[in-house]
Amino acid sequence: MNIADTIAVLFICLGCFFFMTGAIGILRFPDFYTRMHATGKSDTLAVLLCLCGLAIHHGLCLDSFKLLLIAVFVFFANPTGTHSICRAAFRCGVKPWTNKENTP
Amino acid sequence: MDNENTTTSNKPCAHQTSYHPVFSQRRLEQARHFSLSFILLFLFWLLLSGHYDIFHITIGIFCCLLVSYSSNDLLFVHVGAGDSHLIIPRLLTYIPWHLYQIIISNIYLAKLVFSPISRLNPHFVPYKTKLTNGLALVTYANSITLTPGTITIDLNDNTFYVHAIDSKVADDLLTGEMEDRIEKVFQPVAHTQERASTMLAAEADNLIVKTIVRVFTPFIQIYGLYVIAHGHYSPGGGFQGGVILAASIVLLALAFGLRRTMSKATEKLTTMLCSSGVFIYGGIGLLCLLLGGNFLDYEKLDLFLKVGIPQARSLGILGVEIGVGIAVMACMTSIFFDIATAGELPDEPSEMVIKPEDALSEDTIPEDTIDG
Amino acid sequence: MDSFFLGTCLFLCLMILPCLYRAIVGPTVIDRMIAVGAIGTKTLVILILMGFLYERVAMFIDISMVYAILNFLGTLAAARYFEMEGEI
Repeated sequence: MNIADTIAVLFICLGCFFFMTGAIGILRFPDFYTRMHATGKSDTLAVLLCLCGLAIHHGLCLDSFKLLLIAVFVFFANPTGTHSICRAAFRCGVKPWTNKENTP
Repeated sequence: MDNENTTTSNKPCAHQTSYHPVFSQRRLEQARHFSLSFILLFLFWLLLSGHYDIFHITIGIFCCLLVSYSSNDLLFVHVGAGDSHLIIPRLLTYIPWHLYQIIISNIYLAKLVFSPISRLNPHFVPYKTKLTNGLALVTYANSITLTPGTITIDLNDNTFYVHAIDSKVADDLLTGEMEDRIEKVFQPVAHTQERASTMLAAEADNLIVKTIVRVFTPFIQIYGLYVIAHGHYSPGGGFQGGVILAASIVLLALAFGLRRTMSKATEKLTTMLCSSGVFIYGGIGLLCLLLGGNFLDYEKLDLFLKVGIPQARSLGILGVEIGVGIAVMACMTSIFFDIATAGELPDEPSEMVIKPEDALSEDTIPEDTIDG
Repeated sequence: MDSFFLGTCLFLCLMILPCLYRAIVGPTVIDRMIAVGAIGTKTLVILILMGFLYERVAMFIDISMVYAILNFLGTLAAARYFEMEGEI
């Protein structure tokens, strides 16, 4: 296993870890907005890491550029999607969950 | 790189300046947008294509011309392209810092995920920004969404409504470090007021989605055309490419409203394209039949094209793919329009009328949570 | 490397399960929407990994690109619909 593959494995493992935090977040968090935090952030970074890892593994060629292109697309599209669906929920009057213990 | 191209394409317009100053100014601008988007889209095509022979590059040039003609008002409108050579390098220096912030944010979120729910303290933060330029606002909004524990919920009159998962991250946001960095990136235009008058009058609502869709749509269309043109190498083909093209139009309709999109892609146009696509497909098939082969027997086209049997087959497949692509695109688009309008266009102010202020006052947020 | 990719695929499939739970249980429609979006992102990566496993990377990259576009489109469409309806 050479250096490039080691880095690729590291990247993909990190990506999987962030996918896992996202999945657990979507399961555990109490309301819509907090779940959105879990998916919107973790998934974006996880896709970025996984695709970069795969591009490193694949070496310098056209397909790697396409992988990075997908990563860039997701990098812009995912926060936009998150924002738009949150905005829809906000304007429809979905009430956010609040922590009763912490509020004064 | 673009300077040379811009000047050459501007020559005829510059000649007219003395006669119609206002008109040529606009045309000069349009020509510049057109050539800039053509160069960008063609680079994108070369990146996608991977076949660098004359045949494919010719198709590429044709497709890029088509897309940059049909959407030259999408990609570069309102950017102030003269500043882009300053902004882009600065944006590149901003991105590493931004990536670092994203990683920090995810580690923070990972900690939250594994800690008890009672550690969360979600609340809304209204945050007034100094930035006025549209692109800077969009960059900032998406940066907020990606970085520690905050999501941009709404953007209205320079005020971001941010949902923060914790009071600590809200304090981080309010220090405004990220805003200062973005202000530096967009320095000469960060505070231009153009948006107040023309730009955002039409786009004030849903600025973030509109900007992202506007920038993405030409690239998605090029991608669709690439899938159509490379149908015989990759999984794509006319059908898939047509669906991607239709998806780009649906995206425009979702972001900019049905009325504005349908004024460009009219019912007349879609009907015409739909039937001409079927005509191309059937025409090539029948031509093969007339030349003495079976229906869609491409080898017989060689009698007429005189380029050799493999080439003729390739051209025949390409022609059929183009026909199918056009038909599918037009058909999908008109199906979408028919379902979305239910036969009649909605009334003019179809946008949502609820403003964030109203939503806030309608006890969407309990009073005690606003200040954490 | 292939077995690593296979393992990653399986892990991601496992990670789809919590999202699927959220998509089935809800409680609101919009929760289901974000769960479906999250599943879509994971599917994107799984598709590319499958491309590496079958050694047809170029083909699967094209497919996953389309998937990314459609995922984005779906989210925007849902958001737009709820915004027009005014209730969830």
